[in-house]
Formats: sequence, C-alpha cells, structure tokens
Amino acid sequence: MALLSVRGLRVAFRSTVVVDGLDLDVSESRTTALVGESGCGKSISALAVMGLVPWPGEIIGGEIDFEGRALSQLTADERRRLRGRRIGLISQDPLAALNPVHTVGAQVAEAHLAHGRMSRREAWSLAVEALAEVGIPTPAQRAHDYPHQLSGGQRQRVVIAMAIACRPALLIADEPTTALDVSVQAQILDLLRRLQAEHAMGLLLITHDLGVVAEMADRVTVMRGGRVMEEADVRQLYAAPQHAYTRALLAAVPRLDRRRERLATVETSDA
Amino acid sequence: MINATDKQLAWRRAGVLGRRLSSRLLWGAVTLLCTTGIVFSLLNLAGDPAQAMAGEKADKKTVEQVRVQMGFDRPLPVQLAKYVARVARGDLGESSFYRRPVAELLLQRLPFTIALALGGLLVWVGIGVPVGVFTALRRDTWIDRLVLVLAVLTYSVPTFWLGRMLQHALAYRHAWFPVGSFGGPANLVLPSVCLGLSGVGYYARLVHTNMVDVLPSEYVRTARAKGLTEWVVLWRHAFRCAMLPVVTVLGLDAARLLGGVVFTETIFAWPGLGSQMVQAIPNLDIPLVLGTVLFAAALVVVSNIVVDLLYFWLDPRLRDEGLV
Repeated sequence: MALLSVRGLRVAFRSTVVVDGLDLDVSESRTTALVGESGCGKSISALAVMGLVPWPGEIIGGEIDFEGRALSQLTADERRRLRGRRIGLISQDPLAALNPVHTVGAQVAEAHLAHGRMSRREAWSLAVEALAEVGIPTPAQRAHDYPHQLSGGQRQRVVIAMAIACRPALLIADEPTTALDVSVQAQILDLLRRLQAEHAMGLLLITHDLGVVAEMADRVTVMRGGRVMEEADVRQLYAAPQHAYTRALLAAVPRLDRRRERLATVETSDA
Repeated sequence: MINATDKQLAWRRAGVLGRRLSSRLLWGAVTLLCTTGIVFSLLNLAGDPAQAMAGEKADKKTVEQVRVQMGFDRPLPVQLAKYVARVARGDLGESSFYRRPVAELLLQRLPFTIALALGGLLVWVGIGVPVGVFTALRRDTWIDRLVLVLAVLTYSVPTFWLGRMLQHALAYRHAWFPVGSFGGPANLVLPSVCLGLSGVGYYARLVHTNMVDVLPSEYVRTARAKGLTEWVVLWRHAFRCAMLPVVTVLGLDAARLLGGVVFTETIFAWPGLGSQMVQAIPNLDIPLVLGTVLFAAALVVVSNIVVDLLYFWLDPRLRDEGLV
C-alpha cells in the first residue's frame, strides 16, 4: 500500500489553477521524483501535502491520503501533528529556511519539543544527536552556532536534521541541492539516501535536475504547467520516454559523451 | 575565521563591540557639545539674562551690577567655554531664578518625568505592538483598514489638542480621572495616554509592516513544517524577527518621547522636568534650561547606545560583522 497517495489534486491561487489533476504515489523506502521546470506547480504540490499552501492559494479538488487517512478529513491540529512528526520537509534554500536569530540546536530541539513530552535539556541532547546523524562535525559545539556561522552544506544538513528529527515516515525534499555547490550536492544526496535506507522513509523528491532523478528515484512523475505529462518507472522513463515533453527535457540534459553545438531547449508551457 | 578557535572568536567579538561602543560614546560627546552651543546661543538671543535676573523693573545700575557679578559681561564664547568646563567637572551650576543647584532641581523633578515617560512608552508599546501583530494576521480585512485609519488619525493629532480634549471629556464632563497635577496613580493615566497615543498608531503600523514582511518568509514556513503550534510560530519565529527594526526605531524615538513629555507635562501641570523647563524659559534661567536640555540630550544619547547594544544581542548576525 502506498504511504502517500495523491489523486486528482487541484490547487488554485484565486482564479489561476496552478496544479490541475496531480496523481502521485510514494511507497515506504521508495523514492518518487516530481520533475518539471520552475513554476510548473511541483513545490505547491509538496506544500499541499504538508497542508501549508500559502494564502491566497487553496486546494480546490482531489484527495491526499497519507498512511491510509484522507488529509482533508483531519482537523487543523491533527494536520499540525502530522507535520514534522510523520512528514518532514526539506526546502530549497537552507539559509532562508533557518531562522537567523535562533541557534541551530534550538531550531532542531524545537521539532522534538513540538511532538514529545520532554524537558528542554532532553530535547537539546536529541538535537545534538540529530546533528551528529546528519554528519555535522563536533555537533555539541555547532549546536550553539547561528545559521550564518555555518557553511551552505552544513546549513542544509541542519535543515535535514530538523526534518528527520521525529523519524517521519515520509520525507519531502524540495530541490534539496539546488542552492548548494556542486561538490556538496553529491554529499547531501548520499546523506538522504543513507537516512532513507536507515529509517525506511518514503522520499518525495522534487527537482528539475534529471541527473539527480536518475541517481535517486524509483518512480518519476513529469509535470508541466500544473498537469502530469508522464508517470513511469525511472529506467523505463530514461529508456523509452512516452511523452514528447519528457523527450525534450531529456534532450536538454548536457552529456559528456556527445559533442553538441548548443544544448537543446524546451518550449516553456506559457510560450 | 574558519581556523579561529571559539576563544579567539570571542575575543574578536569583544573587540568589535568595544570599537563600536567607543565610537558611539565619542559621537555622543560631540552631540552634547553641539546641543549645548546651540541652546546657549538661542537663550542669549532671546533676551538679556542680567535684566531677567535683576527683575523687569530693576534700574540700569542694578542690572549692570548683576551683569558683572554673574559674568554676563564676558564675551559669549568665553561664557560658553566656562560653562562647558564646569559641566565637564560634573557641576551644572546654580539656577539664576531659584538660587539652588540645577542638579538638585533636576533630581527633584526627575522621578515624575520618568513615571510619565514610562507611562507613555507603555501605551506606545503595550497597545501598539499587539494591535500591529493582530492586524498583520487579519491583513486586508475591514478591521485592518479601520485600524489603519485610526493610526493615521492618532499619529496626526497634536499632543496639546489631544490633552485638552482628554481633560474635557474624561476629567471635566465625566469625572473619571483627575484633571491634572500629581496625586496618585490615577493622575498618571490621562497624561500617559496623551503622551502615548500618537505613538500607538505609529508602532501599530510599524509592527504590522514588519510582521507582514516576515510572515510569508521561508523560515516561518519551516517552523510550521516542524509541526509547531501557531502560537510558537507567531511569537518565537515571526515576531522575534519582526521586532528587530522596531527596536531600532524605539531607540531613535527616545527623543520624540522626551519632546512629548514637555507638552504633556505643561498641559497636565505635571511636576516633571519639562514643565519646570518651560517655566524657566521666560525667566531666562539659562543654567536651568541648559541643564535640562543637556540632561535630556544625554538621555537620548544613552538610549541610542543601549539600543545599539540591545540590537547586537538581538541579532546574532551583527556580532560577526567585520570578523571575516
């Protein structure tokens, strides 16, 4: 049974429909990639699963089932208790995602405090453990640092530590490597893979990077202009893309084994 | 910075703070010096201090006698230099009207002014900040627009008019509060409201704007994604960051608060520094007026330095500025 199952999701900002009939499944220990160009509605879909679609956006149709429960049937407080505890979110820009005036240790500890009965001291030591788990060196000292004192890769590790603090069943990673240096990107992907294997998490990976998809995903959903273009197993998608848009996307990926005058371009949806 | 130990970093931070503090103190001293010079010149332009001291009906001989006795015959720059030198030794001189040390007169009135200023500040912050947060959460609703109109109104109403209206409505027509002067805590209510009301609208809008800036930010979303309750998201994450610019403005507004105190004290016959100074001006009591202005200027300088340090503490990013 799928951990997360999205059927016919529609999200609109006032009269503009930005997600129009999204179907998506994420299974335990598996990775589903949601691929598409910027502004195609993939991030908003992730926020819809979190229940955090920003005003004035709203879900106008479809159903999101998580662990067999329809999220639309839950109260606001029940949804809040799912966030962080059962569903973790990693966002694109780690510097923007961290509050500049609180130490990273406090920001991780907060996630523990929100979902468990414990003292601040216990939450702090759990936070230090979480920082160690995501590979931050000397975590007991770094926990006292503020976000601006860490490097980009370390900040993203902190964001991941917050997201996995309560051992969620589903991890949503919205462009987790886009804001990072190329050398750090691979480390972060390795970390995500390791954590996923250790905790049997389902991973919803949102990206526009087809290289990342090939490396990480089991299944792929291709979106364009709020609609699903294609949904397939990752090998099948790369071997035999069914949709013209997917073929165009794949053709736009630079390859080392071919010489090209120019990279292929993709017609944008609003052109 | 990368290779520095935590201890070295702490020392460098202390160094940055020390340099900042000393430059602030230096500028504070320059500010006080300029203030003294300007007020001293203005007072001497306003009239003849010797005549004022001897009395309006005093004959020429007496006036000249007073002039020589008090040193008013010396050139103004010399008088000013002498005054500054005396103040530097901690002596504010003697009031020419009351014939008592200025410092004693100031200290006598100071508690009343502090009480009133704190009352005004409490109205500013105690009403303005919650209203600002509330309207930021109810953005673009009718209540937000109503508060905006009220904010502009209260900000635009002059203190002296507002004071008279409050007295008329709440002390004279309905005797809910005493009209003026000092008697007990109830006497503080109307003057505090009068002093604080203009700031309420201003701070409500300032907090509103900053909250509206901060609320859609990504770290607020992250806080929600962690499953924190709205209350914690609002205060620990959004409000804390929204207050950074507000604190700066509060420090700069210390001057406005003291200016308002002068009007308010005069209207409500409040026995503070402001009303004492207003009485001292027609008497051309130069030492008392200068002493009061100098004291107020020093308060503004000190409050700016305090806010600077507070900001240093509130925003951890500033501590590492200039370290890399």
